[in-house]
Amino acid sequence: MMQIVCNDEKKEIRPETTLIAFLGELGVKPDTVFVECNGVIIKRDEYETLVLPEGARLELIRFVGGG
Amino acid sequence: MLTIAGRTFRSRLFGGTGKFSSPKVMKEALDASGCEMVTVALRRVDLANPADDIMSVLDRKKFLFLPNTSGARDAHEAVRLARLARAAGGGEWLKLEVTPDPRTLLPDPIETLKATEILVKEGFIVLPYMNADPVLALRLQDAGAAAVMPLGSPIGTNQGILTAFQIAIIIEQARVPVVVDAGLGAPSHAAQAMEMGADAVLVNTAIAVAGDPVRMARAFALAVEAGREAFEAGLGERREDAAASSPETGLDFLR
Repeated sequence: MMQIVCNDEKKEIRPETTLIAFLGELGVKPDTVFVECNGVIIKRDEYETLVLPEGARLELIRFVGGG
Repeated sequence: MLTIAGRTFRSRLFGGTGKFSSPKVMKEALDASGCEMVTVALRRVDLANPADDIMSVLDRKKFLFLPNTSGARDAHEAVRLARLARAAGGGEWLKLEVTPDPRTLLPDPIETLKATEILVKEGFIVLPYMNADPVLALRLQDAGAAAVMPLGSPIGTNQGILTAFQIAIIIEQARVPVVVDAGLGAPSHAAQAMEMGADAVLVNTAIAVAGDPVRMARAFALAVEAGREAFEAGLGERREDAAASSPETGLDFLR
């Protein structure tokens, strides 16, 4: 197992975990969020291929109600 | 019809999506309002509640999403939020909001202008939320803002248009649409803005927190339409002294 940080929470993942698999484990529908990994915005078509590196810092963001 | 950045809108009422009691009420209210553009905010996913995606109830073909930069305290934070919104599929449209003071939520004019300059260069369609300052409105237009959004009163206060004098000047000088935003607490406030010649109004709190948000949305839609119709019809001039509506002649038989 290895550690990453997602929205300031420490998470344990298996090596070779892709972004899409990680979102699935969290129970997040991929098309409702967007992701920054180590400060870089990840394009939607890269969710399936991006393997999360050790110590990655993820930000999961979505549209919410606002004025 | 209203045109902003080449896109036409049949409705001159823009909606907000915050503060509704449920996604269902929000959807029904926005449907009732007839609005075609709605603001949305960007926030971190709540990992304790990851399935909570309220925006999925809204049909993106029906409503143009206008992501805001609410929460940004300076130009740097606003630009970062804007880029994220675009990456998230929010498109080029952006309600720029820079509010450093949580008590008043009044917009920072200097940071707003700075962010407008940067974002326009990056291809965003920038609609800046601004204090009702006529000079700033011109500066923002010069910087390429697609519309200006002066406040009636502070966000969420429902106090109506406390800035009528300044908004009238902004409208008179405007080369881009003027959208009165923030503080409109009653349909009469929206009608007032439209009678003054505003091109549109943006309403969130007053609809979302109403006793019946769906009916209030309809009330705002009617008020906006009435106000616009009155503006186009041309209001009579205001005067100090009374002027009788009935003929002043033909009373000889009384005297």
